[in-house]
Amino acid sequence: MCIGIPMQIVEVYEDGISGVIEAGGTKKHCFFMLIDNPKVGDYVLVHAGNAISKLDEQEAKENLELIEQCLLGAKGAVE
Amino acid sequence: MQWSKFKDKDLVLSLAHGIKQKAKKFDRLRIMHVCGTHENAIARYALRDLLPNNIKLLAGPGCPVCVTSSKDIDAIINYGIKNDCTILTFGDMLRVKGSAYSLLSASKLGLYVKMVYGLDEAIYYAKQAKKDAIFFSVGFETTAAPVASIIKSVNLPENLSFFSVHKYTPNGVLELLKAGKLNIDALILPGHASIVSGLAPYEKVASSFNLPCVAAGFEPVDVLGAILMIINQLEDNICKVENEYERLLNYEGNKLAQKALNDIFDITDSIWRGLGIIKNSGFEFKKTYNYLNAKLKFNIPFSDSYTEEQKGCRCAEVILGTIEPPQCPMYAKICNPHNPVGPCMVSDEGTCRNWWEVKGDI
Repeated sequence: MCIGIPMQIVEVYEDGISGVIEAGGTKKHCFFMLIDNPKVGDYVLVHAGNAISKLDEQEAKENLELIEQCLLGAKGAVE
Repeated sequence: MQWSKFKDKDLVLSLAHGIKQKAKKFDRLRIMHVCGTHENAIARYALRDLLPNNIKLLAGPGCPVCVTSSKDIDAIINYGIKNDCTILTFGDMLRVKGSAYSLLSASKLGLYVKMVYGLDEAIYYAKQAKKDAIFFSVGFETTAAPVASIIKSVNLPENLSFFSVHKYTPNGVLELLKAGKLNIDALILPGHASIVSGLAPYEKVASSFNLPCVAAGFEPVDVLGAILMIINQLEDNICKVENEYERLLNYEGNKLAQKALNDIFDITDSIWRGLGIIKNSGFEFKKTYNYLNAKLKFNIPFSDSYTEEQKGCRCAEVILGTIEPPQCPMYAKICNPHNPVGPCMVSDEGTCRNWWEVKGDI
């Protein structure tokens, strides 16, 4: 039950706290109470029918840079 | 899209090479993760095969299904049968045995149980039902927070109540370390549970027990990256909390989720299967919400005699990382996903189940 799945918001209902998310053609109902300002097009991590975090392209890039920095440290040590 | 790079083969091999080179300085490193989804990723991508022999990657008590006590399963079965009500819960809870029966096998005793994907479906089914319904509310803070936020924001049907067996990971880990039950050199922190709790609760773990702690995501680059970050800390004689999963996880955690948890639940002692009662490691409803608490609403009979482990089952040792699944004499012989004896063989997050899926009966 703890498996989080990245999905995209395709509809936000009028209540603002729920809507529809999609991944690989599968659509599901989702609650948005745990994220700020859900918008159509946002990528979110979905856990048991709830979005628990937004997924950001820029942060993914920075994340990779962090890993590559660690790797450079390792290569430096090897050399 | 940058996200696919977290599975990139060249980057994975570079990380594995870097780990191998740096790990030469150490006799033996025991690195534990406390998330069933990490075990799933490690098994699926065969990450142990990429590590040198002196690095042991251990699976800890990170599967909420595996640590749900027989005592709680027996109680929910008893109540459902005696009071003729519907039990609603997640699919991976259905086949875990209590002392004698699982929720699914108890259906032949007259229990009516229905699988749901989330609490929204439980609300839907409760509205359809003409009798009382209880949501068997299982999971770490990742599941407890959504449950809390829905309770706060949605009109619940009057016939729906909750049996909370939610558990709080940071305190569970801390207490197990205090009790000397974990023999480890470093921790990989759970990526998704930490999205809710944040990383601050783990500062005490890092400082009091001199353990490097790195929160990680669930792609192969994430897990290997976290191992390299741990080795870097050990090399520099540093023990601190670091975040490898920056694209989703903030150090502070999800404030909306923390507020929802604080509004609905108190932190209480909780029984973990095979590990006994762990202080301050569970979520129980605040008094204001007694009307939603099935344990109080219906006075569910708890039995003092319950069986956590079937004869021969060694799941408790698997959960503590003291043995690996094939060391259990039942593994893949009597116990398999079609006939799970212990809880670790049931859920997709269980260690035995993950090993079996990849290695089968080899």
